[in-house]
Amino acid sequence: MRQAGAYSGILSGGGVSGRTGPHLLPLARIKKIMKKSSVDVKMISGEAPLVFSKACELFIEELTKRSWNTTIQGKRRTLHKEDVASAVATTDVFDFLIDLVHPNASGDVDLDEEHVLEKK
Amino acid sequence: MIEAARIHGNQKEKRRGGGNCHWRRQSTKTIMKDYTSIDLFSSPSPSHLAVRFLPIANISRIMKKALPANAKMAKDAKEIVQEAISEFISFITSDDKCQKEKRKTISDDDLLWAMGTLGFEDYIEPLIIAIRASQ
Repeated sequence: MRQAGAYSGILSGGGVSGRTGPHLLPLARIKKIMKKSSVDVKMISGEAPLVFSKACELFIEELTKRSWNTTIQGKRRTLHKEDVASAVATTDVFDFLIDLVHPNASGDVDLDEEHVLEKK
Repeated sequence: MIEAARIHGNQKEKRRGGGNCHWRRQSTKTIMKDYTSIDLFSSPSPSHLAVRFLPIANISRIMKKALPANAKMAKDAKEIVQEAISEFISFITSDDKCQKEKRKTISDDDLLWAMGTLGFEDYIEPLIIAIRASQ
């Protein structure tokens, strides 16, 4: 049985406008990334990018705070990539990021190269 | 297609016109060509790279909120979080619930269900509260 049925009831009450309120992340870009993630994704409901906008904020905050713990343990005040890698390695729910923070292990160098190009 | 051009602000630049905007019109053509391409995400143009990630400035702002006032963030930390966000979005979106139910539309309901399934159940309640507050 779908557990998600309860959520739609809570969310749909009151009429939702996907663009109301301030958003810290661009909804259109979130939608593009969602479409890229799977060839089967054809349509995305209006509120889905909004849900992701808030979820990404929570995700960033959690990842940042866990990374900062590592920074503090090293008696530093500057958050580095290694601190993020440490947070990923020590947090179960971040397992899907292991290949990202340890690219040498997975051979996934392309992502890093493209990211460097984007910065230019 | 039109929305894509607007995002990059090139529509506004075209309307301004002027001989010194020739290079901008050229880049508009390039970007428009990219967005009319079916296989958008394999194009090597900068616009293709840009759509893979959320803006680093926005991400940096959120990270700063989560840290003490005297904390600093190295550029590589911001960049890796930027990539991690895109992975997070793909990870949640790719959950095959819609596939199993033979649906091609992802709803906010599906996203919350996927988060609960994939270990992010702590996000569900604050998400519902935040979304209801924005209504």
